[in-house]
Amino acid sequence: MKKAIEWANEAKRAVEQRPIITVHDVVKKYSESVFALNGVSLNVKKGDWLTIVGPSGSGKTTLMNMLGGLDRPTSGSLVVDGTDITKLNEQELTKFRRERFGYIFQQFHLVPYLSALENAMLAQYFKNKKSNGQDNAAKALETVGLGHRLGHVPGQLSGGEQQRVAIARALVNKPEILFADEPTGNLDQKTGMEIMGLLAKLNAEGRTIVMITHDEKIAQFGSRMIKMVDGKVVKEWRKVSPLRGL
Amino acid sequence: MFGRILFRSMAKHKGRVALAVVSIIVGVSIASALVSVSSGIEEKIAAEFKAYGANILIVPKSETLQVQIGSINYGSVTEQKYINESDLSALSSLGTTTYEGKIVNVTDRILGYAPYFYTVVGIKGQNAVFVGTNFSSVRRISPWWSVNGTWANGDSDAMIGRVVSEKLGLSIGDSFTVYHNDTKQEHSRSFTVSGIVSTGSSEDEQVFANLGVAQAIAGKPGSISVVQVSANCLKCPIEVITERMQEKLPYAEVRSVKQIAAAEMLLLGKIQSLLVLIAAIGLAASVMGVMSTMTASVLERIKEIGIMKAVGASRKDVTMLIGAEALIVGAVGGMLGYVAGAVLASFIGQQVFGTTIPLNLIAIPISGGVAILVAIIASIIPIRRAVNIQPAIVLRGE
Ligand SMILES: Nc1ncnc2c1ncn2[C@@H]1O[C@H](COP(=O)(O)OP(=O)(O)O)[C@@H](O)[C@H]1O
Ligand SMILES: [Mg+2]
Repeated sequence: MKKAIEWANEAKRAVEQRPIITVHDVVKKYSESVFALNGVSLNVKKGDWLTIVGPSGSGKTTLMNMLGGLDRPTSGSLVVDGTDITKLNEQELTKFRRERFGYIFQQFHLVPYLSALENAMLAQYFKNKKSNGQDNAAKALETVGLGHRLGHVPGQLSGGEQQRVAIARALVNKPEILFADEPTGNLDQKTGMEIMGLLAKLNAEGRTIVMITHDEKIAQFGSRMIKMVDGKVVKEWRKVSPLRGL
Repeated sequence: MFGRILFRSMAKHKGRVALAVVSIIVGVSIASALVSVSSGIEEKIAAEFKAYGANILIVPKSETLQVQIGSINYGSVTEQKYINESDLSALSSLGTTTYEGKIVNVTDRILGYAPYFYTVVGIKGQNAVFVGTNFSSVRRISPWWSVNGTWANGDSDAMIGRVVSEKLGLSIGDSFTVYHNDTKQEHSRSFTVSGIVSTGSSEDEQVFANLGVAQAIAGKPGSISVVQVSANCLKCPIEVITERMQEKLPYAEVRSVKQIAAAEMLLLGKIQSLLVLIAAIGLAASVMGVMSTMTASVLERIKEIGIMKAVGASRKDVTMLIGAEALIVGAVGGMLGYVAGAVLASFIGQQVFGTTIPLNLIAIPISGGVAILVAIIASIIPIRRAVNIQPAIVLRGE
């Protein structure tokens, strides 16, 4: 049974093998001497789950901020679904981000004085001021298993619960791509695995995921993996799938 | 949702919000107190000025008398020793004029005027100056007249000066008749003394009756010798008013008692510019106070703002959130500042000027407006900082 689902997903992926993100020769200089990214090129295909590994300070977060439109590269191009996001102005980029991207951070980054429900509503509110969004947000919290904690503020929630709220917030606008920077970095192993299970489910539903991690076990969840060192991609794997093995 | 974010965040940072409100209260209360004090003393001076009496005199042109050369009297062309009573209605419709680009309503500046007709009569065999006037007008523009008994009212009433009363031996309730020196006729009407006037000036030697009666005695109906006008002219050159009057009464001479007005104007102007300066310093301090607390609050909230920007808040969203907070701070601070300002104004009034400062209702919208303006100016820099927060930097894993 499980195998059948995997096969079906692989088949779906094969159909969707066009790149949703194309990165070409991206350089990010923070100052004259600090090259956080030193000419990165890569593709992410629709439905892919790309994991980025590498030592601390190798430029993983910087790369993800570029991919996710949270920051701009010094040079190079970043094409997402046909749009070069380096050419968008701030307003267009903000709009692009909130419509297509969801983010999950190591530190959760919830707004401390808003309840779980309100935090989840936030992304939707900024996208569309007129929609109330309460039902959608409640549903997203339900999906991540927090239907019973809607009124709690972050301070009243465990780390795992906070990360679930963050995932619900990331999902609420139904983004095509989820970016996760060490989503399990602040969680114990068991909770981390639960979160990964959640992400696996979202990936199985067809959502593209770009995830940074330190943890080799966690990295195994991805369908593709790149390793960064000193602002460069030094190694790249594709998980050998049963389908491709044939 | 906007309201929830706004109020939750303000509740979370109560201390800073309160500090910003206090900054506004301090600035606005100082400013509104000084404005109230300033307009209060302006009113006070206007009232005193009015009590001082007439500051404009209208008399018939006297040049007519000097135009006589040899035996030929050129004066007859322009000779007019009296002002026509019917022309005085012009004083109630002086209209408006412009002065230094501002429209001045001249009519409104006229606090009152009293016409006088002078003639000389014999009473009990002695000469006396007999003055016809309009008593209700005199009461308005010469409130310092001290009257023993009552003011004259009917045509048979007369008021006599203190000196006249002693010289002729007339007291309240006594009657007398008048003999007109020019017409050589004893007037049929008998007058009863209703009150004795003492002003310490020429009035003490005069006899007063209704205008029409005096004109009839002299056989000069509709004639006026002098008009005294009390005009409120603290901040305008009095020429604006006299010129206007001169236009309406070209055959008369309009003179102003300018020195008094000028002195009061100068002093008031100095006090007011001092008050304005202090108020401006107070408001500037208030802007600085609000600006520094709001900047601190933005710095404290860098992370929240970064998160909101990351999940899709635009520059406009961030501006609105912080701007709304500033407006609320301004509105609340403005209201409380008005109240504190009223208290402060009455304190300053009592302690410094020894007078009560009337509650100035116009200060309410002004305080509110100024407070909101202060809040908006003060929030420009903090808002700039906030909208320029880069989510990528804020969200870097530490
Ligand atoms: N905002 C910044 N300003 C200056 N240097 C930065 C900034 N962000 C990251 N860096 C530097 O860029 C390099 C890559 O950082 P980062 O992308 O955070 O690495 P990683 O996520 O792989 O640990 C590091 O040397 C880091 O110190
Ligand atoms: Mg990192």
